[in-house]
Amino acid sequence: MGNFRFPFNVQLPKGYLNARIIRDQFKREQAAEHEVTIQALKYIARNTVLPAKARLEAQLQLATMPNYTRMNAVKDRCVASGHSKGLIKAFRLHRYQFREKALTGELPGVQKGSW
Amino acid sequence: MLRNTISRASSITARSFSTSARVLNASKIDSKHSTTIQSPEFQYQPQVLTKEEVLSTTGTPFPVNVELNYYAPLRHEKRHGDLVAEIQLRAYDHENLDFLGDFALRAAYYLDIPVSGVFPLPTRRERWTVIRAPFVHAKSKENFLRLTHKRCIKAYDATPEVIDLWISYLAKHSNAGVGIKVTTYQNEGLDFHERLDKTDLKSLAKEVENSPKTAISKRVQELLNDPVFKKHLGTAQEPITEAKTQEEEDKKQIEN
Repeated sequence: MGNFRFPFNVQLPKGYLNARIIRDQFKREQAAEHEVTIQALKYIARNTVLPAKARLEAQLQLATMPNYTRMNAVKDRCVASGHSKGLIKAFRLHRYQFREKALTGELPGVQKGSW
Repeated sequence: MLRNTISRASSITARSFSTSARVLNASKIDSKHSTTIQSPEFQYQPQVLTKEEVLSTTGTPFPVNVELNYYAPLRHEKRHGDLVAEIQLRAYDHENLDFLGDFALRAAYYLDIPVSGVFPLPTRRERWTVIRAPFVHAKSKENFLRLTHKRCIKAYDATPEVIDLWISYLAKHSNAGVGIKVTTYQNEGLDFHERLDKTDLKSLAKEVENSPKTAISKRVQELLNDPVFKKHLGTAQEPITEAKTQEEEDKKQIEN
């Protein structure tokens, strides 16, 4: 596919949508699609039994993989607002969205704390 | 048979025996109990919580098993003490949890499963401190917490089929907002390894075939058969390296 700048053929996630969420979704799909190949290439590259040239070839192929195919490019985002920082992982929500939902009772079991 | 006699006794004795005259009346009606009721050393004074002697709707006596709902659940005693299953119930509020625990004990009684009581496990407390405002540097904060209450029931000495029946019954009638986690234990005979050797491994092989690790090893073989890689593997060494990679993969699969 070569290098590309914009996401294409993305299956839009449910919930809040903005450009950054779509971009992230695209990266997730790409990573899932290429996962087997990347793992196989890593296996060849790290296999000390194989000749050095074959391992080098695997490393080269890994380095020239298309953009946005690595899991470390994926970043969790708030499902209600698209924020990437100040995230509460247990609910996949930004801290402010979490507070609003907790106060309206949308999060089961979460209550105002006093101790 | 036992249930019949008890229900008859309860319908006759009419919930409260305050006077001996009423006891005598009751004994006249049912001669079977007369000896036990009239003998002074026993002091036969059954008492029940419900008031209805005969149900107005059906005209039948109040059933004993319904009557039992007014009391703490009955339990069978352990026979051998072999732990067979552990049921863990979890919920954010304890009302539903206590109800389902009680229900599970009663169901276990009628399925003839000896169980421990419902005993509590440590409550999980999760706390979050959140800035009140959307602005990053705002000082004012707000605390939230979530308590996950847990209860556990241990079941003993029952066959796996009965335990399955019990669990599916609980799952069918489970409360909203209560999670059920079941751990089952099974004892095997000393000849278990012999039977394991005889078992057909084809079904297991199918599972391995569908696992993601196998997908990767297939892709590795594809890549190594690709001319780009094949030229590096060398013609003379080819069979050896192939065999070696095969060995490696086998090892990898065993490790997994």
